Amino acid sequence: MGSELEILKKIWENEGETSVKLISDQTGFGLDYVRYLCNCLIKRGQIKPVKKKPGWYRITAKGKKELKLLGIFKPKILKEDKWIKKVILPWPKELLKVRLPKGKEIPVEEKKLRLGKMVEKIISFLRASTFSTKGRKRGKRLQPTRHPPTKGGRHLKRKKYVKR
Amino acid sequence: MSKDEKSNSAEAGKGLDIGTAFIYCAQKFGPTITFRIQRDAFFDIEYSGFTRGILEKSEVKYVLSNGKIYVVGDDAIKFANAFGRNLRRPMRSGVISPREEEALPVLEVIIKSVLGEPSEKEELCYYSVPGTPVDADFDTIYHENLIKEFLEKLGYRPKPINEGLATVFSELAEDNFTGMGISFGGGMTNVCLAIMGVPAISFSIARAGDWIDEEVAKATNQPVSKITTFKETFFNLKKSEGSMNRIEQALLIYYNHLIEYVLEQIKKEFEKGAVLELGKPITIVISGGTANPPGFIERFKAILGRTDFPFKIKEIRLASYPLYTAAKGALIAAIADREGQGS
Repeated sequence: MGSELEILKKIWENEGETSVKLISDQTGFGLDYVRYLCNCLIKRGQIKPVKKKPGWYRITAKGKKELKLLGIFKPKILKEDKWIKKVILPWPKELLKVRLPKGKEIPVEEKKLRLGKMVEKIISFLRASTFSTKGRKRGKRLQPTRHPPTKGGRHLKRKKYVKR
Repeated sequence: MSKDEKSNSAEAGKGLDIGTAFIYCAQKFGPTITFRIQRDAFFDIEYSGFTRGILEKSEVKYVLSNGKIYVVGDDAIKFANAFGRNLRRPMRSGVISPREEEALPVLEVIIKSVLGEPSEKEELCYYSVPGTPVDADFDTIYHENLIKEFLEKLGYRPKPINEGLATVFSELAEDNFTGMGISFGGGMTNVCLAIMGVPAISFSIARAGDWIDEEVAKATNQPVSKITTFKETFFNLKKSEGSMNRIEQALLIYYNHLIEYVLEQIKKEFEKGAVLELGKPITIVISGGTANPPGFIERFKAILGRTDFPFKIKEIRLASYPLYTAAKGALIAAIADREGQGS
């Protein structure tokens, strides 16, 4: 995860607004570096400074959208103590989902070979030797006789002239 | 629909070759077979709006996940070479890589990109799977079932086909589908001896193109991606040894070793198993990307000539299109199966 994204995520996790010092403590980045990254995020409109609270920033709707776009979800608050909020960070399957940019498809290389006739020939050989021919009858079709079926008798015969 | 349009429309049934290095999808459009190809690799970059903007402008194939940008396909190898780092692969030794956490979602995206939408409800799709490895301690059950799930999710009716058997289906019709198919892929070498289209012996060997690349990279102290690019682009086994550079010499040594090792394993398997009465000499057909460099078949024949092989050989030949053989074989199986069922 990039540093800017990490800062954005931290602000979001801390109830949507937090101070530079807290971010620095939580991330281990220096105060000046955090300030610099916050300025970058301000320029992108993803965070805004909090009025009357110097060194505090809050996430904007654009920032939230960016996090949502990257599949980072708001942590669930399990239990609220006096000062500490125990949170569970969701790193479930959803986070590992790979997403294509909107309206994009990964282009693939294509190769066209005129092998259709040859493949058809191979298929006819293969069908004859390997694959089942379920639902099809081989050989000549049997024709029904003019006489009604008799009990136990055969009412199908080959259409062939037999001299009596 | 005119006769011409009809003859060029897509026929139902697809063949998918899920290889360690590339994924191929074959589909028949009248007299043409279209192969859709994607390199089975990715490369991760830390996310930033700036990087994303540059990738967008350069039309690089990428996906987003977990605060990272994953460059996929052929672009990944370019990035790996530029950064001097190794490529990341969703598959290793012919099956889904247990080392890569992101293997599954990336592989799913790559498969989807080559396969596209099914042309009919529950379109039949034959996908290649490796045989059980004889020299490594893992099986292919997990891999086979996971791919099946992916394909079902995409709306296909998947059926697995052994990669060696796919080679037989593709290349040995004139021999009544009797003979041996050896597919030298990226992660594995697959062997199948079929008698009239029925596999008599099939197994895989966990050494192939990737093994060559890794060993050459170690020997020459170069990144694996660089060796892979060199091997795929410039390597020629017909070149005289004297004019070869250091990388070429290392590649030659490991190519020879791979062929010797594969033949030795085939011999062992035949000696282990039941005695097969083949009657007459059989044809061996070689396929796969590792067999693609010029001069491979001549080298194979020369090494086989020095080996005491367990059966008589009528002919050894390279598949007509070694890179596309497995996908073509899977496509043949899919169409034949579909037509056989009268659907």
